[in-house]
Amino acid sequence: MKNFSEIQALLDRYWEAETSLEEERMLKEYFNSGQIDDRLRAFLPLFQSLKAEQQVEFKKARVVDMQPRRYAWHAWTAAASLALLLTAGFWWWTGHSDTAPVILVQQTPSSGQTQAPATGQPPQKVIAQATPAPRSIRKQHRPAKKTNIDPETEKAMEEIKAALALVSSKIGKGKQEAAKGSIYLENVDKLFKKKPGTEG
Amino acid sequence: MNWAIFQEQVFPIRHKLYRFALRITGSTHEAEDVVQEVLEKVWKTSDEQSDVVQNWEAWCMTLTRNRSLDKTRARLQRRTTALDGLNERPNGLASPAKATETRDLAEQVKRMMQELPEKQRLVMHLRDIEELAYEEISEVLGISLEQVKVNLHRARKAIREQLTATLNHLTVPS
Repeated sequence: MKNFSEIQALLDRYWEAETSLEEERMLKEYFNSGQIDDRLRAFLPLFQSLKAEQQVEFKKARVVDMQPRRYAWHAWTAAASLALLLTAGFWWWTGHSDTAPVILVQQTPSSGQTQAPATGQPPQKVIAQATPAPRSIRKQHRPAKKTNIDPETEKAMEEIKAALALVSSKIGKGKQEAAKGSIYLENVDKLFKKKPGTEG
Repeated sequence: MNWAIFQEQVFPIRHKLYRFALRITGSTHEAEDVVQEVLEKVWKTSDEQSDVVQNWEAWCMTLTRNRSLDKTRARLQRRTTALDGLNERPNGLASPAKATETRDLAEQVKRMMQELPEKQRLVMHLRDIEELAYEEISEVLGISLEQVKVNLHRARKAIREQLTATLNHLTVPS
């Protein structure tokens, strides 16, 4: 260990910012050794404080917190729900009317099986109450029906399609970002678990 | 970003980055956020950009400085005072009388350093706590070598004077 005059000389150069890193380490070592000359005791707090500050560590528990991924799941759930709702709405709008029962009515004024309604209107005969047509048949009818859709409805349908396309594109982009973030968090998580005392 | 570089050169210096961010922001929460953001940013660095970086430590320190200064300025603009622990920078200087009350000189030195002008504070931190060479400090802070030395000299001189004054105050019988 250096004597008082040597340390005093080093200190003088330290205040003038003329010491090397090695000399500054020697000063820190001296002042934290517990064996200090009383004449130098005034500067002990400085070197104690520097040493204490050197030991401050980054212990961010939030790094391993899964909150970002929970956030991603919330976003995914919301996006999926929205897409499902929009798809269901679109399907219902375009295909639901096909499933309504079709009632075929034929006027039979001379038939003996007629049942005159109480309203006094001409007698009608119920030939059949049809069940919804098979899906294949309904599909065949759609193009013809589409021509009957009024412009406003058509516009609304186009908007829904555009919204679905937008959601789809955002999901694609979000998926990539989520994958990146997920890999980062997993790897950092591993590092924190493996190297709790890594020097910094 | 190459995982090997991140693991070997970036992750191990997280404590340094944290202390540096803490020195600038004076807030443990903000410093934690800064380090988190810097690590994420480095991780997402493109391969092309990674090839350009020669000194990861200096680069990370620079990112930390910029992010910390942004946060500090944003906080000052909001005119809010954070109060989250002993590392918070107090508004204004502590009076000598109040300082002597605590009798905790090491804590007082910490506070003295925190109250230095920004450049002096950061230069002294990088030299005396992180033990960086003058050239590295110059690179991280974007100032000349001469400015590094001048600021370090002024910072140490200010601490020395304050320490001496505090001790004189303590030894003078009331």
